Amino acid sequence: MKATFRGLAPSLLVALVGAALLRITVGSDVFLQYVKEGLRLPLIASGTVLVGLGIAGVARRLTERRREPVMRFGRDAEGNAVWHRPAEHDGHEHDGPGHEHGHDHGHGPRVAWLLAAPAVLLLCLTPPPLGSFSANRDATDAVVEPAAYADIAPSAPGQGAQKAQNAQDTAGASVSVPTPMSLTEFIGRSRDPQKSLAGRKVRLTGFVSPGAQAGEWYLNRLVVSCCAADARRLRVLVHATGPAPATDSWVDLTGTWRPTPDVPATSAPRIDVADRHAVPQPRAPYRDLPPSDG
Amino acid sequence: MVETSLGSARHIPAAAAETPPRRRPALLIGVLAVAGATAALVRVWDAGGVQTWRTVMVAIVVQGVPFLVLGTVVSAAIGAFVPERVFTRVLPRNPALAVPVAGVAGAVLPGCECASVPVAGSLMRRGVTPAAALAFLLSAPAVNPVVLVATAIAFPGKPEMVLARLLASLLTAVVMGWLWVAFGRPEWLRLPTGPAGHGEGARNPLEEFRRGFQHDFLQAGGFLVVGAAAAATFNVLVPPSVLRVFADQPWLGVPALACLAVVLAVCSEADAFVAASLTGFSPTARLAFMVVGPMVDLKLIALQSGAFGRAFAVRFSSATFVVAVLASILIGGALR
Repeated sequence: MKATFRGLAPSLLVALVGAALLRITVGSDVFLQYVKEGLRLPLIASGTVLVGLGIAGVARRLTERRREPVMRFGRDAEGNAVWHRPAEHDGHEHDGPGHEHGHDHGHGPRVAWLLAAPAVLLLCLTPPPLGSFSANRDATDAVVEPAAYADIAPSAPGQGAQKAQNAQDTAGASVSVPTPMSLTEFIGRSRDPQKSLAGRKVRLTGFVSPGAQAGEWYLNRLVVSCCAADARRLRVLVHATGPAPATDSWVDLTGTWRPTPDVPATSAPRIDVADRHAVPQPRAPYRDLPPSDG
Repeated sequence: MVETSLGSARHIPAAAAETPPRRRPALLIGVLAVAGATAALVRVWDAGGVQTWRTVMVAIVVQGVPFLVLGTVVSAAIGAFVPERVFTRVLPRNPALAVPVAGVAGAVLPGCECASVPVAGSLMRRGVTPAAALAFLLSAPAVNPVVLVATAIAFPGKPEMVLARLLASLLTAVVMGWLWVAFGRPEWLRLPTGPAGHGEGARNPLEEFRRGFQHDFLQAGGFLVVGAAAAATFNVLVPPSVLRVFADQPWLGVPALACLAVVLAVCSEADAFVAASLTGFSPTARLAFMVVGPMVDLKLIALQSGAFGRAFAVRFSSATFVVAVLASILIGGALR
């Protein structure tokens, strides 16, 4: 029995890893917590290959075993009939026709067992996406390329940034629908010499991490270009009355940019919040998309 | 937590010493230590750092496995279906000439570092001269169309960065190949033995393929987990602000970012974006980050020591590190 399991184990391990990959990709978006979206098909393909080859290995092993006699008839020294098990006398498990090397891959390399750890984690204890721990340690900030931004709100009454800046209060009051915006765009616009954000109500989505002082917290996004190991952060310093939302919770907030002329341009831009509500974690936590309506 | 359980375990040997002499106390201490460590782990399981460690470790493995499967399938297919004479015909017989050919071949084929290790192993098994296989091993993940396009996107308006990356990486791969021709000793390289069943012509090639695949995948996969765990540990423990100390000195910036590339183990498609985010460092330092990363990092060292032996991985990786840094300084200086 033990020998059977030892022979089967490497194939089962291969199948287990494949099952873990399929579990996070097929009918599920869990893989987006770890890697970029483009890896879905490669993950499904390799999961299928692994499960298929693992099952093939198990099947092969079982049929091989069935062909092997379980008991062998013989006679002992006194001529009495006895049955003995060939497998027990071999010492280690048999491995098809290639006995001399059989030992080597019957067990598989020992280091391979480490693969069981991530596979079991994925199957049972799905690790959460990166959150406030990564965002609040002094992580590397994502590069926001300066871009020429179009004027924001189509419903804005006064065209041109200058005008909007002068009539900050009236513009803010008359634009009723806040503009949904990704954090990348918000940060880029906050450095825009045209001041296209001035007086505009915007909507942002991200997860919360604690700030240094009361009444301040950060709204963060982590962006990933391959896997979570290369996460870079985008963040906005939020000024709001009342207690901060729970760390790591996702919020959708509406507010206006607070210009800070005397702060270095690389620091996080600030926003004064008018309204906020909790939202579920988005499907792809590492893609910096503007909040969708709904 | 762990310490208290170890402390109490010290009293046990005296009590249990009579019956089976040696192993029982050691076993008990071991069991108690594991129990203590588990209890400690349960306590910190949801602490930010541990959570991040789990996610990063799993992410590196998830990201690496498809490429590992691809590389293992290719290498098992080479082993099972491609006859040896194909390679001897394609590559120049002289190793010194075969190295640049293999280096350029690596640049054309898109591959990830996880895929290139098993492929290089099976190339050697099939009689390709090690120097050429090693040049391929280094150049395949470092310069290929996917990586170059990613670099161009990460550094918009700086095509010289793409060119510098191409040249410095190719230079490193070829120089390393030649260094192996000149100084390499075959006994450093534990040629991959591969699964059982070689030389048994009667065996079904499909079964041969399956066994080769299973053996290579399990071995490389185990080492991938080792590398991912090491990289995740650095990701959690080393604050990035440590690096900023080096940003101001140009000559310290280059080795600092090269070391960062080793410990972060970011895949070669993504490292250009990380390099772009390391503002404050000189272009040469960022170039070194991109040249070193796909050739030497924790996950690769682990994979290589699995495939070729630890003696090889240590020598080869440290030599590659030095050559890659020098190549980056040379090319980075020339293109400025």
